[in-house]
Amino acid sequence: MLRKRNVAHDAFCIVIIGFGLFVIYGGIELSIGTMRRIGPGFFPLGLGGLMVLLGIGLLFERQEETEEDTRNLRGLFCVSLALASFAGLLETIGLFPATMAMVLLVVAAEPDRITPLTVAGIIAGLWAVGYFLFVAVLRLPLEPVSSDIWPVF
Amino acid sequence: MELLSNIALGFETAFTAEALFYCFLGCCIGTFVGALPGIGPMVTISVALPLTFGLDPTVALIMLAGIFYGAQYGGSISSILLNLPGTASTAVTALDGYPLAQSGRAGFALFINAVASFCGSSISILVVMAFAPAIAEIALRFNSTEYFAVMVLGLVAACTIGGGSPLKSLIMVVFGLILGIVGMDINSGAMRYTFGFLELTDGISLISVAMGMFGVAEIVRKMASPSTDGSRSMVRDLSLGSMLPSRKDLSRLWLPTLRGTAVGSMIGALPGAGPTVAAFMAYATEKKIARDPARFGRGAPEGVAAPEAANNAAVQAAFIPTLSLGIPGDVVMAILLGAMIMHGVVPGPQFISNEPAMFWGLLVSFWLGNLILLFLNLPLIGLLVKIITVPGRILHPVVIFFICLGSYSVANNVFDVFVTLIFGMLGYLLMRRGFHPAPVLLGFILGPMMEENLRRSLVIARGDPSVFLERPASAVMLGLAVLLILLPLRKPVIRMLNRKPG
Repeated sequence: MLRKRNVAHDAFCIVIIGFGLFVIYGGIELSIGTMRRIGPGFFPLGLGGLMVLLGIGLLFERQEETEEDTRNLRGLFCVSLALASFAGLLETIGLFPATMAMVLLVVAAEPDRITPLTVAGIIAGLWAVGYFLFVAVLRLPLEPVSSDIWPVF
Repeated sequence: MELLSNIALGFETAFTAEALFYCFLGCCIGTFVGALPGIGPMVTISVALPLTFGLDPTVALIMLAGIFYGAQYGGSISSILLNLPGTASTAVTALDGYPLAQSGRAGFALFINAVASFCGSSISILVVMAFAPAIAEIALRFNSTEYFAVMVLGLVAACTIGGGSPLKSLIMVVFGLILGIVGMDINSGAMRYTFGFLELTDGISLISVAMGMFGVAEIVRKMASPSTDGSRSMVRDLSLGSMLPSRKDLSRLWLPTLRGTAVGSMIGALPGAGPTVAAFMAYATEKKIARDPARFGRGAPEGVAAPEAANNAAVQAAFIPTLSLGIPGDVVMAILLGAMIMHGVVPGPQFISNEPAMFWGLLVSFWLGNLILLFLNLPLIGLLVKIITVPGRILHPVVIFFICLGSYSVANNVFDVFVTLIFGMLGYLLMRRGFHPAPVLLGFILGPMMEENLRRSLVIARGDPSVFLERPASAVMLGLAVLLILLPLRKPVIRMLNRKPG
């Protein structure tokens, strides 16, 4: 009797095979060289081929029935946005606003309730750590608040 | 005699004020993060690595290693007191440690934990001292062919021994190897898979891969689980008197501790097995040979002593392949190896002869660190309990903050924060599909070294790939790797052969 196929698993295997083919294509675009003197594309070509083979193998692997844990799309979205906003704001408007935006977004991802006072405490604590450890001691080239955003009179 | 002079050199290196301070700092940080469920030594070492760039490489490694073994001590504390393992390797300690704490013997369980951990580590450090230089001496006779074969065997063993689907682990290793080739090819100057990003010329940052796939992905996963409840703490009486074991307890515990150490020292040196497998094996051994196995799981002190000795012994033994061959056995070792490379230290068999002060200094500092932990842990338990009950909703933004600034500080570039974000999303999606990210880092670290050794081997053999089978050591190691790959296939093949047609 045919086993019912797991569509999500099969799709994932196809992504893996596609990724392997992409690596092979990149390897061919670079020079493969000869066996005596391998080029920059030789190793990637081999790895891409291996990835394709393993992806095909995974298509035929029996999938264990595992208990699915809770999907956390909200968490993934908010945390990703927190990192993106931190990266986007850090050098443009400064460490303090970037930290505040990041904390607010991570807190928004939490399923548990958190009081505004606690959030303010976390932000203040991280400002202090960020300034004293990373700016003052480790001398990262960061401004607490970018001088570019101050109004000029 | 030579060993004694080497140990003396190690003491000279490890006993400087700077080394002692950073060893102490590493152990303290390790204990705290180990006790906090969900953070783990991997993320902490990744975050701390950029902070060590200004330090002397030996001191930096002493501190980073201190975080690793400190976390094993800390992890057991939350296992025993809260039934929440701080690290995976201390999960088994909770099986008997928590019932002991429930029965009012929390102090006693913590004492066994500290002493067994110290014994396991100390004996295992002696094993590293004895074996690592000997293995390195053999490996010095290896040429690029054998070295390539060792790496293949190491990666395959890491995928197939550790449990889970070997196929998925192999896919992760190959993915790591592919990530490792991103950047400029050192031989031809060609840009590989950089997509026009100048920031990728030197390759993808190890810190970004590690913090994304482990730190960010783990936090997103944790957010979906119920938060920890500090009210379950079993701390009632933690006076010194409550901790000390009776003479009867002592006589019952020394053999399980030694057995756990032996299991941990052997398992820890194998690639892929690590402290978690060691702890479970030591526990299983004790249960099997016990006169009354029913006591296990209900607060048997041997159930704490043996796995604790084993996981700490395994942590130290994992340094054998890392320091003697330059091949990391597990993911934390991969990060430490990456730290060595970032600090300009060349790992491999020449490491011990080229950097004797660093090698012996590190080993002596491990022992000093364990001594510090033995005395640090017991008086600090009250404070640790307060820290481990900090809810995730407060902890998560703090960790994400350190991940962001840690990624940024590697090259003072926000590009790396975006790379961390991409690997965080990828890590979470892979985790949900049952792919563990640990092998990615092993492949990522070993990828460039593997390619270089493959290239050299083929140049020396004038392009003849049969060179890998002509040299006996290389043939044996590659044969073993093939065997390890084929081993999981035996069951489906037997099943297929037994299935009669019709």
